[in-house]
Amino acid sequence: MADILIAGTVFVLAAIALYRGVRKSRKGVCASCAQNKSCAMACAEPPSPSSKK
Amino acid sequence: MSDAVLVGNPNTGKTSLFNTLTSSYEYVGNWSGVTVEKKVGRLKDKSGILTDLPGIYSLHPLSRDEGVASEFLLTDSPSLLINIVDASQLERNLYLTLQLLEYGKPVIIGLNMMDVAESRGLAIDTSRLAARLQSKVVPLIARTGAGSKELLLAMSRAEARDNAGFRVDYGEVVEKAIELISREVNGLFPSLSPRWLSLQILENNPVVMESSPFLEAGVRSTVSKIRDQTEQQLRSLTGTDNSSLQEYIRSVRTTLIQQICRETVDFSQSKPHTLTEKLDKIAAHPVWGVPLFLLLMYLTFQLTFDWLGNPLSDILEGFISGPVSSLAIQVLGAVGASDFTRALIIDGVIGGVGGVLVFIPQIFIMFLIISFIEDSGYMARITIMMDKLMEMVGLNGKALIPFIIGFGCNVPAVMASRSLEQPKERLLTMLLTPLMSCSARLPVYALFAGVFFAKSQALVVLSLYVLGIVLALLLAKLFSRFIFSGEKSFFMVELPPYRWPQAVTLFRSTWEKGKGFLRKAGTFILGGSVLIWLMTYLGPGGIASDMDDSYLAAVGGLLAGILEPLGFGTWQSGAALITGFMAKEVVVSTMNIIYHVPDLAGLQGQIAGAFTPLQAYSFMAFVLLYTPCLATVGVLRKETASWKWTLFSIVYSLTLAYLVALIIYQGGIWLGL
Repeated sequence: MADILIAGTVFVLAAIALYRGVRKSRKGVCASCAQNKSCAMACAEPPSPSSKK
Repeated sequence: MSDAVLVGNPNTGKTSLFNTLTSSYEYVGNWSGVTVEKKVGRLKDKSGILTDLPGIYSLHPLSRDEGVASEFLLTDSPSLLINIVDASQLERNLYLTLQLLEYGKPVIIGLNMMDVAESRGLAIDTSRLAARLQSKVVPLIARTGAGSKELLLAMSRAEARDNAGFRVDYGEVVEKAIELISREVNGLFPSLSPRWLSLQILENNPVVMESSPFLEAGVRSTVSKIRDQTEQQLRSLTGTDNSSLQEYIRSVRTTLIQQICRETVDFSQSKPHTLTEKLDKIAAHPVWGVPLFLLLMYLTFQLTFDWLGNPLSDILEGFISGPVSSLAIQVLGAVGASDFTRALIIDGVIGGVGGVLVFIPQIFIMFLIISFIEDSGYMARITIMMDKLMEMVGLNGKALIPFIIGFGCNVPAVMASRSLEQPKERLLTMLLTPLMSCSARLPVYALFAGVFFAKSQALVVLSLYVLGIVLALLLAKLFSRFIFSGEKSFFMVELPPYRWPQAVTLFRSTWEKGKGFLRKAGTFILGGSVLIWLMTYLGPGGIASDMDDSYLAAVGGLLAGILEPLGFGTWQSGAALITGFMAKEVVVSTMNIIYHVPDLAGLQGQIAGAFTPLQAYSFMAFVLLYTPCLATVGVLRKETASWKWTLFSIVYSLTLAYLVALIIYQGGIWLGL
């Protein structure tokens, strides 16, 4: 019983971690970034590629 | 007070203050351009919201990130401005202050870096300054937090009419124009001072001139006429033919600032920046600067590996493979775990995640040194030294900021490319940023260089970093021929005085950079390791008794043939590289799981048997250059808004990695290595 519980927990945790990781990467920008809490850009809307000042 | 905003020149410590006043932590560095977008945080005393804006010299923007500040003032209309002023550079900083005082909202002046001003022998009469500017002036030392309580108090007491009496007299002609334009624009921006708006229009501030309320009102031609007439009148008054209204307004302000500085600052004891000048004679020398930088990088790697990183790593490794593994085995034995669960935990989780975690010391030491370089002021010198080189290959000097951030992680580096306002320059920078060797590649180097190049580990790793930089420069030259336009962004970097970084700031900055690695190890690398382990456990024929029959071997085997000419044509290498796309540290996790060995020494022994030094170097170069990781690809897709360029980035980097590894391996064999 404990055996199934341990293996099950590990697999569920791994699946959640992978799912979240991939989903974050798909979102791009800050969500996928390892430094999203400390970086300089602070997640504002990305500029449209044609925007010029 | 509900919403305050921090405004000031670049590198005056706004973000440091933001971090002190709010409960958040944002990236700080002793170099200009660290903040590219506005940041919002809640004040510690919960009395309201504080916004941190990118540093600007005036409200007239020079680049995209500078426009953020003007745009914010125009559209968000904050109720309180906190102008952070560098006390040691008062004259230059006050220009923006005057523009902010004209904005019509209460302004509190945070006179920061009082310690620096004092050390330079400048004595500032703050009460006289406050009287001259008709504003509250709070002396600060943001790095230590001194004065922040007083600032919070001043913020809570700020009133709408605090500096309503402040007014710069621009002379009869301009004052008349201000009056006329004020009438035209009255009501366009109900919360803004018409006088401030008129001055921005007279200065031709593009953010105001192109704002939608202004364009929609159709007053553009009227105000342009007033501006032209004013300019003509001024020319006939001053007897010059080419002076512009903008220059005139600037000169009125500058004269006033000089007068204020004379009255409020005692320069009699001022000392030149002797230390900074002396250091710059060596550190920023046109000839010796670059070799010195390379030497410092070499010492960085010596410290990261040989001197400090490896011994610490060995201790950590001993802990993971010793007490942690034994405890896990005991617990698993006590609960009667099956062989499957035992293998999952020991080989999959501890092997995969632990194999990466042992490199924590190297990564944190590297981040500590990067933080030190940033905070000491040396980073700004590096950007200046590299600027010429960058220009030679068709890149903008501004691209250096993303490149340097890329040594930490490529994801924020791609985002930092936003500071380049020309879309093609931005694209070029984004495409080349992944060639900067991010910290995730460090475990791979640490593992391989530790086995094959134990005596010259620092030199080998340095060579890989330099390889990435050199290839980025060469490719910049190549790509700029095809995708680069003639237009260039404006690059300006200020050289801050050198300073000895504070321990607290340094450790905080290191921790903020490094904790992402720990989080990733506990989540994504854990997930990846379990998946990889499962792929080694199972195979097309059910449970794989031999790992060569596993799914992972089948997947890795697909690449083995292609990788053969590069010197590592095994399914193990192929599998490590494929899984490394998830995150580059996973290359090490995969190796650990494949060779399922109890400790680092065992893995090193296995790898020593599977590779030759030449093959190992070729493999490391391939890991450095091949496709950016999943997170970087995600951010590239988002920031380029184009699948075409994202795919291009993957394809070119794979091709480059293949060619470089091929040249290294085949060249090495030809040389008899």
